[in-house]
Amino acid sequence: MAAMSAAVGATIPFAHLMPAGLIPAAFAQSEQPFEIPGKEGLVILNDRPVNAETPAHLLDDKITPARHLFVRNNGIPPVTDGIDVDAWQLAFGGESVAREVTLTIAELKKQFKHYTYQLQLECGGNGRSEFVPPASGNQWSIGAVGCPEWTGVRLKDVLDFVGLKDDAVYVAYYGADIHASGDRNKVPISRGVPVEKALEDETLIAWAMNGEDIPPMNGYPLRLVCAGWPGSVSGKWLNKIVVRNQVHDGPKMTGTSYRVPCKPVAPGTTVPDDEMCIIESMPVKSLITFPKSGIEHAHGEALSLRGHTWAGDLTVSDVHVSTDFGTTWKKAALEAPANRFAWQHWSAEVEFPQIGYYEVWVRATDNAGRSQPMVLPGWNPKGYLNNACHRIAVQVV
Amino acid sequence: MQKALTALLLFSLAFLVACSKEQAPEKTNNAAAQAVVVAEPEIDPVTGFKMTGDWELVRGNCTACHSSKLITQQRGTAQQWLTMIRWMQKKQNLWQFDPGTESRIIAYLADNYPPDAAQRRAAIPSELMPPNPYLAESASLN
Repeated sequence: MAAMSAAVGATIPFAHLMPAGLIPAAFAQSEQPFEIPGKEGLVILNDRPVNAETPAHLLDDKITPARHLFVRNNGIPPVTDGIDVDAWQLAFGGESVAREVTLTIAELKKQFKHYTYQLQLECGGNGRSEFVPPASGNQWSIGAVGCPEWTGVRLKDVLDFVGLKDDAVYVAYYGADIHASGDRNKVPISRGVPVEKALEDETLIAWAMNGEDIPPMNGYPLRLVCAGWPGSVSGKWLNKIVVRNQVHDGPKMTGTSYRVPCKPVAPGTTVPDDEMCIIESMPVKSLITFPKSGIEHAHGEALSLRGHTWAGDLTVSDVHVSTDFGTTWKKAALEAPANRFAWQHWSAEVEFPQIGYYEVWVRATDNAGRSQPMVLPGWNPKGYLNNACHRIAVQVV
Repeated sequence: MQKALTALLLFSLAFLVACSKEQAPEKTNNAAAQAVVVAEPEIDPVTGFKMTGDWELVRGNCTACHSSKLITQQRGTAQQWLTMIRWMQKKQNLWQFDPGTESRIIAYLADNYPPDAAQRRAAIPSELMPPNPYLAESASLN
C-alpha cells in the first residue's frame, strides 16, 4: 500500500480500508496487481506479507465462506499451483516421536477416519489497533476471525499411529511457507500446543474447508486446525509435525510473540522475557454481524440484531445487548454450538425511545462466568487478547 | 469536593509529567540510533506556544481577546479548531480571516495541539458512523 501511495504521488485517503481486489484508478496501469485471489471485501492491512481482515457485516454467514475468511501470513506462501496434492508429504519427527514417519495426503485420507467440524479461528492479535500505547504488528480491528467447516483426520489418530514417547510434552508444526526476507534457511513461524491440546477430538489435520480445497492463502493443501487458541497454532501449508520433550522453541514461540505478561502490567510497561507467558485459550468474544455499522433506522420500528459468539476452549452461556452505552442490558437468544469450538449464533430485537444517535453493544459471558469488558482489557506489549465488546453505530431517524 | 477535584487534577498532572520524563530517554536513544534528530520546538516563555511554523501568526490573531493558555490546554482536530474559530467569529467578535491565513492558523493548531491518543477506548471509526443529521450546522474545512 505504501508503494501504491508513492506511485500515485499522494496519500490515499482511507487506504487501510481499501477492499482486497480493488486497485485505485491511478494504479491500474501498473504491473503490480493488488488483490487476493478468491477473497472478497477484505480490508488489506499489509501486502507483504499479505494480511487482510473481514468487516463485521461480511461475517454474517453462520459458516464463514472462503471468500470472507481473513488472511494472516507471517511469511510468503508456497507456490501450490498445479502441485500433485495426493503426493504432498507430512513428516513426523522431534525428540519424543516414537517413529519418524512420512505420510502423503493420499495416505492420510486412506488410513484414518475423516471428521468434519465447524471450528472458529481467531488471530491472537485481533483487536490490536485499539491498544494505547500502540502495539506493533498488523493493526487488526475486529475481523481477524472466522468459523468455516473443516474436514480432515484427527491429529490424535495420526499421533497414535506414529507413537508418542513418555516424555512428550508439546506438539508443533512446520509449514512450506518461506520467510518474508526470502531467506530459505529461516523459518517464518513454527508454533505448537501442549500434548493434551493436540490430542483433543477437534484438533484436525485438514485438507478441506467448506467441502472444497483450502484457499491458497489459508494453507492449501494441508493445515492444522486447533481451535480456541490463537490462530497461529493452526499451522498452514503443513509439511512437518514434531513431538517435543520440552515447550516448543520455534520462531514466534518466544519473546513477545503470542505471549503476554504472566502478571498484569500497567500500559506501556517493558516486560522482561521471563515474565511473559504463552497465550493459551482465547477469551470470550462476540460480534454484531447484522446490521452493518452506520445505518439509519426508522423510529418506531424494532431493529433485529444478530451475530456470533465464541469463548476459546469454553462455551458461551449468555449474550446481552445494550443500546444505552451499557446502562441497561437485554438478554439475547443464543444457540448451542454445532460442535465444540463452533461459533454460537445469537439474535435480539431492540427498540429506540426517540430519534438520535445510538450505539448497539454486545457482551458475551462464558461458562466460567467471565464477560467481555466494555473498555479495553489489560494492556500487553504486543496487543493481544482485546475482547472488548463490539459496537455498532445506528442513527434513528 | 472542589479540593478533592483539584487534588486529583494535580495528582494526574504530576503523574503525566512523571510519565513524560520517564519516556524521554527512550525517545532520545531511538533518535540517536536512527541518526535523525527531530528537536522538540522551543516554547515561547511569554505565550507558552510551540515556536514552530506559523506560531507568531497564531499569537497575533488569537491572543488579542483571550489567553494563549486557552489554546495550549486545548486539543483538537483541524475540524474542531475550525469549529471553535467559527463560534468565536459568530459570538465573540473575532474578525474574518482571509482563506490563506485561516488555513495556516488551523494547520498550526491541528499539528501542534492534536487530540491526545491516550484514551481507554476510542469512538467508533468515522467510516462506520451513520450520516450526521446536523451536518449543515458544522463548519466546513476547505
